[in-house]
Amino acid sequence: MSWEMAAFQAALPGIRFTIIIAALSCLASLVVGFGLGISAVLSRFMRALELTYTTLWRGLPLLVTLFMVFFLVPLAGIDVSSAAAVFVGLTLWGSANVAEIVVGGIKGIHGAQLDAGLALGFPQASVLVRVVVPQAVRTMLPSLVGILLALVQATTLASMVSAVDLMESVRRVMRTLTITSGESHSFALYGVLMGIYFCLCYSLQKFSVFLGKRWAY
Amino acid sequence: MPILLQGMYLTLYISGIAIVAAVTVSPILAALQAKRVTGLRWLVVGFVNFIRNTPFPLQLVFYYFGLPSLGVHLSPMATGIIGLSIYGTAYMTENIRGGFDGIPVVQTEAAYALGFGKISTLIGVELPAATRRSIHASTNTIIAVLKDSSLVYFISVPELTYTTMSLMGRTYRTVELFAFLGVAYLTMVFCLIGFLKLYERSLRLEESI
Repeated sequence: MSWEMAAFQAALPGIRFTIIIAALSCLASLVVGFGLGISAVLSRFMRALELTYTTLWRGLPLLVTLFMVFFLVPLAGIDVSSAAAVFVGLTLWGSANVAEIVVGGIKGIHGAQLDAGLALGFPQASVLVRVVVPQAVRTMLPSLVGILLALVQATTLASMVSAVDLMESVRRVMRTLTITSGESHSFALYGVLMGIYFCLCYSLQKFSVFLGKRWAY
Repeated sequence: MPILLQGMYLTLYISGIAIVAAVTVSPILAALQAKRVTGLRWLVVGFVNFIRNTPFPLQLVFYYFGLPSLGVHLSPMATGIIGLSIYGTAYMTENIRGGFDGIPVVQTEAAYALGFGKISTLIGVELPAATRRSIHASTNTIIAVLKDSSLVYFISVPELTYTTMSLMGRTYRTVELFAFLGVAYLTMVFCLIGFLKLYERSLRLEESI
């Protein structure tokens, strides 16, 4: 088996980890972020809470958040696996960003929509969820895709809390190759790794720009 | 305790150099891209898109571990500073290019009508307008550079995160050190946001548009 095939096979767990964690934390960020954002628009108290949450998790570097989750939570008695720490850390950061985008997006929809819904007798939450948010999603989509891309790229931080993501598995492959064959092929492997991330993120970015132009009001 | 302050100083030092580099180089790159200087434009587009769409930790790891196989050996600090500068420049170039797109064509045409040459218009009319339009995005990028300076932890640069974590490994005072780390970063970020907001406000007062 050539070293390329061996490298690919050894990197498979990393690929799986990255895809699963990125997808899960993106989903969780969207759910939590939308919930926070919508409730922040609805009540002053929730807005204050949401502001604290957002300021905290957007003001701290992502690496610091990951370390905090990984090292502080076990002190409270709960065992945290590396994957769970990465998931929670990324979700905290991602949901904070999504909440900000959602609040901005909702405020960007003309107030007449909300007024019309309220005039028709719908409760405020119902109007927001059924009328304003679907319209706001169109404008928010490029920013949301940007957050998704940032999450995918941020999974590379997982190696700092002993999780094996794509980058870490490729680095382990390099170490093994250095030991077995004397040559680490580091430049080629890193090049392929960057190529993978670039292709994925660039295509998503182009797609979101395309969608943004199509769906702009 | 002074170790932590040294770490904070190094964080500010690295971020400061990277921000200055980004702010000085990116208008040039953005102008090259917006003015469609053939050949150079594709270089800039490729560079900016490549850096923006690859993870920053991977870039750092590539500079530090991948380049030596090409014979380029850099110290951790040099790699960190160069990597962070390249990262900041790419994002800032994209922001300013967006600013270029928003300039009313009228202003450029008026400048040409008044006898400004291509380069004089660029320097006197378009770049200031583009930079002003991109202030909000540029603010975000500058803060992102400050926060992502923590990622040079990967390559053992003794900045704030590295020194705090190594102190934690030696003394096991996790809660206090994490509290310090969080407060330190939040303070730095808020001060920076404050300065940038003041600067933004001072611009708006003069701007007639």
